[in-house]
Amino acid sequence: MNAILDFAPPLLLAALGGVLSERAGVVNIGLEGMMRFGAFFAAAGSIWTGSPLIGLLCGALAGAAAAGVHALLCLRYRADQVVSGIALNLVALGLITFLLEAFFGSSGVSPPVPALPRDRFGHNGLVYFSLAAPLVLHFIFSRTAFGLRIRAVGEHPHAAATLGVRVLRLRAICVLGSGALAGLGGAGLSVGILGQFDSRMPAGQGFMALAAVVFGKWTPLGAAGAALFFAAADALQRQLSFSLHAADMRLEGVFLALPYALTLLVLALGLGRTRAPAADGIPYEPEGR
Amino acid sequence: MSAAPALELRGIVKRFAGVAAVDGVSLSVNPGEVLALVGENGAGKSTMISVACGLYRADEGEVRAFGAALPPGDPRAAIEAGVGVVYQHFMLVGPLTVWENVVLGREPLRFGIVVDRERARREVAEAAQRFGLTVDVDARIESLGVGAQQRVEIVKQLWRGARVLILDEPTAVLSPREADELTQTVRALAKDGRSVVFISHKLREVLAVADRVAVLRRGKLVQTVARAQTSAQQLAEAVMGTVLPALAREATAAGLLPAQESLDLEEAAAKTAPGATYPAPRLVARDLCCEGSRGRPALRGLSLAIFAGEIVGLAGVDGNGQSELAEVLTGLRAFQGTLELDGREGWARSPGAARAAGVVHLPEDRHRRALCLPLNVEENLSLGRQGDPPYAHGALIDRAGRRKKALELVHAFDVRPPDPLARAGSLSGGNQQKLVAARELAGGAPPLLVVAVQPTRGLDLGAAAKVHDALRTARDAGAAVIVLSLDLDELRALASRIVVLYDGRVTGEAPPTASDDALGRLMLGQPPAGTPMASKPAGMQPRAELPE
Repeated sequence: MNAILDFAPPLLLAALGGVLSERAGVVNIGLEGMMRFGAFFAAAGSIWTGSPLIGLLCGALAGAAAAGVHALLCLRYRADQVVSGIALNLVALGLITFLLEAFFGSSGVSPPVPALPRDRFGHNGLVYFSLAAPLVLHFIFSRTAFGLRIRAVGEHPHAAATLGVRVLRLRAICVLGSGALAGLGGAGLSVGILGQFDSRMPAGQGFMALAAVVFGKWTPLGAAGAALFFAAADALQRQLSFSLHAADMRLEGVFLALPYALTLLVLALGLGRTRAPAADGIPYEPEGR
Repeated sequence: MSAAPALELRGIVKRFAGVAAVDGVSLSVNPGEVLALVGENGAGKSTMISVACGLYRADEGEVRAFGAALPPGDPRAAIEAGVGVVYQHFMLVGPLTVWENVVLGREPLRFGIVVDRERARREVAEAAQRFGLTVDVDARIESLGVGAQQRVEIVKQLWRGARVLILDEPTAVLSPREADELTQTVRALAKDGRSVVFISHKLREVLAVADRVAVLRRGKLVQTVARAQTSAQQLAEAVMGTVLPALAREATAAGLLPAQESLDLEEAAAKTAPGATYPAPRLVARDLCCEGSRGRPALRGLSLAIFAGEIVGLAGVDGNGQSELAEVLTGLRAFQGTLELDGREGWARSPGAARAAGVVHLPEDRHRRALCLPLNVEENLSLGRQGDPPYAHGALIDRAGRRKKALELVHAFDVRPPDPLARAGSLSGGNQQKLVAARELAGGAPPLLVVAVQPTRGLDLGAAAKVHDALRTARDAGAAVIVLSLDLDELRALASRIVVLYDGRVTGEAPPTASDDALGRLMLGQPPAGTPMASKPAGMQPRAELPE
């Protein structure tokens, strides 16, 4: 249980970021890249300032900055959102590898970072934050005017526009928020869990977060549940691979694939009958019909 | 009340890619007045609306509301000034509820950020009640029928304090009864001192509802006349520029103009009296049953016989099985029961089989079903027969043959521009429908059965006449033609008999000369007039809104 809670924040926060962006109508394949930016700059920020909290902030800002590029391409220039996201992932892969080498002279890991303070249960603040975030996002979606507008913009932006809602501005805010959440999730990996940045981060967690968005039917609570489920599968896999030892290492791949296989199964069986927001991924053209 | 018009557009010019869609139009509507805006597709009506409500920024000219100039390209300012639009394609968010849609963008708040649900629901209900518009504020939009959605749109504008209401083709999707109710609503709004701009193709409706009529043609204002000083004939001439005698008669018969004489119709009906020269029916349906989109039974034992060489109109309130019947006949929907075409069964098991058997389809939604918009005209014309001559030669496309056939069809059906390489999506709605008609009716072997669903929905007079002509030509060539339409006048103009559907069954049949009232009773599943239970038309009202 503790292991689940410790491993959950990155995935959970990234999944919420995905929900936020996609409910506003912007597909965010770039979660993986945004997490990577967040993970690296959180580590770098902590090392330079000596404060892990400022590190987390750096991570969120770096994620948001990466998301800013996505927003600019998708909203301003109406680029294909999937292509833009993939490009972002590739840029993150190359650029961060380069920066790791440039700043820390290493191609593998960064120096250790100052750890986040832990409470008496051994959890850091990020765990509690990530557990509260889905509730907050749920409240925003269901009860606030801001949330109502997000839902409308993701379903039928032209209808919202005729009522005076500023579609592109709202979408930009959501994409930036999405990046900040994903960046914070990435920070959770480097500063929160491992205590250093590893050049393989986030190792597919961003894509897993996307799966959690779909599995969770594009709702904050659903996606959070799915993320916790994946985190549980992840924790289980770690436990098992510890106990398997070298002889059975070949089986590790099976366990690694477990969460994804379960997602595919669930989707294929139609247990979670899902429908994406109607305007998800469709660029908004103000004078279009 | 001030002397300033409620809404005034002065010298509006709007160009798209250098082409003026609206070219120097000035219009105004006074408080308490209903102004009708008529014109063919592409005449610039929609562009005018978009300029008026701030969605488009005019290249020249200005928009004034109650004497004050509106900042161009700012929908919010137009709303603030009291200008509300009900679009032809509703601007409603399907998964949200009625009240959420109404308050979106101007939500009543508590604590500055939380939507005050109770207040929102109460206010929306009050706004609806004030003008006698029945809506369930908690219903999800996607669960509502078209008529109810339109009422939501009107409530939405009224709740926002719209004092000028612009209705874009409001009756295009309504049943005759819903259209009548809308007319009453519009008159009630005008009585309340609000202004309405009513856009329509149907001159008869326009004359019933408007105080003044403005006619647009090719982006220019042709005339503005008071209702009392014009006639349907005169309006039709203004809309079309010139009126060919045949076209005018056609338009009259189609209900686009009020009928002066019904002689033509009776003549036409007599000429194609059913059964006289065609002994065996072309199409026999016995006890057809099928499910609708949500697993509800849509057809419940429908039986029908249709002869070669006749046009049969199928009438009914939307959602009584018409769409499903069209889908069954074209192989798109599974069914139980017997379905024979020239005495043979099994042809309706798939769309391919139905096409091979000589069934052609002019579907309800030409964008979703009939055309592939990104492809060009000649490619669209070959779809469905793309593997057969003259469109193909063995496994390869016969480009020369396809081009020749496409040019032939495009000219025969007057598709404009007559360019086989034009993208289908770039054509106007009327020309798209002509394209569909050309492919279905003349693209291959002469059809045995034509299924046309709302064939002229949203089309202008000229295009509607063309499509009607094409259906008549198919009939004269020996096809059995079924026309499903919500527009009774269209059925009267085309059909030799009108079969009425109610709740998935045939409730009766009437000659095209039957009155609205008689057909209306059948459409509501009631016995024809004269029986004791039919007291007065108002008694039918509660049933007019049938579940989808």
